[in-house]
Amino acid sequence: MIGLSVFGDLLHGFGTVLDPMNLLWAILGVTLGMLVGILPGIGPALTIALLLPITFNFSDPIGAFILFAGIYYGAMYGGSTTSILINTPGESASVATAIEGHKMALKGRARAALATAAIGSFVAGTISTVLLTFVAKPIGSLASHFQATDYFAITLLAMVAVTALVGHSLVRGLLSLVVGLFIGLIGLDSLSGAPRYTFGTLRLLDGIDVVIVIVGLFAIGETLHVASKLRSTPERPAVLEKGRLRTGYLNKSDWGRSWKPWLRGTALGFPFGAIPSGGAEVPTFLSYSIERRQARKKGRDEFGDGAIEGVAGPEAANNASFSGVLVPLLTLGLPTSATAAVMLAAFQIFNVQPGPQLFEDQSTLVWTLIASLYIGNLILLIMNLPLIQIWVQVLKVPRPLLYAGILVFACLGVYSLSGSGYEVLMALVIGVAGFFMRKLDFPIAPVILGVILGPTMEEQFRRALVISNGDASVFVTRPLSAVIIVLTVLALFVPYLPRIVARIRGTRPTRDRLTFGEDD
Amino acid sequence: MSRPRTVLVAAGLAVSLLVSGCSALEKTLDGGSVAGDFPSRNVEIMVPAAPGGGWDLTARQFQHVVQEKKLLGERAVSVVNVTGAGGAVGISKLVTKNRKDPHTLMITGLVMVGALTLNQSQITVSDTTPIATLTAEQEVLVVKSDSPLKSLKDLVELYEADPSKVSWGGGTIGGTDHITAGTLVKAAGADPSKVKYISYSGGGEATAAILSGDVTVGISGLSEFEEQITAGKMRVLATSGTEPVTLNGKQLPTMKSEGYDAEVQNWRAIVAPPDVPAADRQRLIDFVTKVNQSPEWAEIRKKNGWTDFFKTGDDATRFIAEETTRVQALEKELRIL
Repeated sequence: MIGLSVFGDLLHGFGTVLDPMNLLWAILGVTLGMLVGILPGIGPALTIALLLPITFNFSDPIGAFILFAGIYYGAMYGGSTTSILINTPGESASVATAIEGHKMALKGRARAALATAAIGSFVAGTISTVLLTFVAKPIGSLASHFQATDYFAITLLAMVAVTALVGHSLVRGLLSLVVGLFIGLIGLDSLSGAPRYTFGTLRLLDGIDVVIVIVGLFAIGETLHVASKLRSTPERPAVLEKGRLRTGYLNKSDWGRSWKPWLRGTALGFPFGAIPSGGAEVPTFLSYSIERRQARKKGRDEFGDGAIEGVAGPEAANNASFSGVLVPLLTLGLPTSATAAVMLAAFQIFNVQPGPQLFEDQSTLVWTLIASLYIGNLILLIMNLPLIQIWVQVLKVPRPLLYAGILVFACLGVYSLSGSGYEVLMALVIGVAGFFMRKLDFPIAPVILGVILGPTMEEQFRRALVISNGDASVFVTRPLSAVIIVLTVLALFVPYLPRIVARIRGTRPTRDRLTFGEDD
Repeated sequence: MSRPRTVLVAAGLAVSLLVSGCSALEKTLDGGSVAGDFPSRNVEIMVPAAPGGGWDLTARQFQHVVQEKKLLGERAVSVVNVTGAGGAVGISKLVTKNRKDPHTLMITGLVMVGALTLNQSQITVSDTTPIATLTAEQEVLVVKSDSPLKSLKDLVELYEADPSKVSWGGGTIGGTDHITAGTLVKAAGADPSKVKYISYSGGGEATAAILSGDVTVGISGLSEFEEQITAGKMRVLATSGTEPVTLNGKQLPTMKSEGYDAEVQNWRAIVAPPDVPAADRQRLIDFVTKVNQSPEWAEIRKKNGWTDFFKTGDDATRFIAEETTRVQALEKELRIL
């Protein structure tokens, strides 16, 4: 009767979370989180770490965890707002949203973009919380079976699968990716301790934080770009399309085009959150690629010009990944993201040891936390839908004021990361690079992908080789790795198959290939 | 003025304001170095790492005790994080910009000694004015519960037979975990340069690597593995301190009790900038002693699983110097220098 006991526990959890004080913590948490998500540079990990000492005075750790979970969730919701409206994602999990979301806003469809993000986040958040409720234990134990070779294979697959991010020109896209991989190399090599591309300065030993790259390329780069072409563009983006709160600001066709991406995004986000070195970024990029492919198959290629699927999918994915992150955190005590690591520290301070025994030892805490996720999701949806009316007003702010404000917040955000002006200068330099990338039509997202995936891929590859004493066959002798690598090879070549077959037959190859290249 | 120029001017202004604002802020934070009565102004504790880690927790809980007990009277304590290069950025700021100023303190520890050595830094922890060592955490060597290695002896014998068969998983390269591996191998009379060390970021990643059987043996602070040990998923081969630890009513073996003359404590200390006047140094020692003796601090130690490792003044200075020499020699033998 496992099912029944889960319901009983969950009901008990709801009882605790509906206590007025706990409800207040939930509301405070999601509101704070939303703000944190909106501000570039300041992420949920930093916020929780800074709030941690305040919670030492809490008599009951439950309130603290409701607060922290709310912050994490709220940040995932909030991140999409700035991505869509002003093309400046607040953190890495919202980068994929910016690609189509901002295009939608430029076309006057900001309300629909914000709505599909909010509703998608709610759907994904709720489904993944249900999954967390019922399958936490079996999924959790999976995470402890992955070895370095498997991680390498997964990052390889992710790298190959997200080629859609490359954009219009394959050469430009790959060059952007290489720039990202290079930035990822900077700093102390974790396996040998050797400094790479640090030019003898201490400041570069830790590498360049991905947040600095994001803020520089997006917020600062976008500001410079807007400033440079202000004379030649209309004063304001297209007239805002009308929408009604009653229909959730989405018209019938929007609903029809959004629900499948929401579900697919959830299906990607949850498992990726649950595996170590998965996190929230990779599933958002994957979701973007899959939605683009699906849209092409149906012959509806609005991608690159504001496709709603490109917002619905990634936003669902980043929210679903949070519940995924909680799986190994609660069942194994394994943090798989920076925020989870800070939450683990918080658990330990309150003398709660996450791990195999947690569900038995701290049943009330766990189930209240899970119940708070359901409630937090609902609060966020209720808060966010009406807020759309207010957010879209941002588009009416005169651009000089708006972008000067963005610049200030971007610099403050970066400064808050390290407390030094050096990082701010670094972000500004990257921002200038971002400006020229825009000017010369280089896509930005592959840079972020390179910075995030590159170091993981290299690290896992080398770990696997060190452990095997340099024997490269480990990547194919372990069944799990071998299967993933075969999938990777398939993902790489299947799109070209029609051409290859055609060539063998001696006929002229058609231009109809499934991949995205030069003339997409 | 036309529109685009307004934007550019506004943007330019914002940037210049911000940059000058940042540098102005840094100046006020650094303060002038006044040799006077401590505390003549508010005290700042610098954490040379990001919020959330062990140093940060030490500093913030230290701050909490000082505020609760009003140990500095009217004066407040603030905590500032200066991140970078395992603490190298923080210490270089303390040593170069805060000379003689008793109002800027910094949290440090064995991890920083390891990182500075690895970075071949000109500055060492001994360049500061050590006030006191505060706490220590035991390291623990574990294997997955189905591992054929039953004792520390088994591990050492396997290593002696073929070092390439043992992969050691732990935190940052040159950090406490790596030092523990090196210290053990050296005490066993084997060659430390053959240690196959796999570094992971944070305990979580290392835990996953041990449970998945990726590495032969895992090393970390006891608190990182405690839950897995209790759940029977990991087996303890030894802890690294002198005093044996009791976990779940069972006394854990130490490296010493297993017959290897090795000891590693992940200690943390609080230091002041160089050349702090002797009178101020004594006042700082008295102040930190008061914190250490408070029941609140004892409670915090217990909560975090830290042992009391209190040495002050010259004792602390001597201890830090010894640790620095030891780590430098060891990192050479581990062939990471």
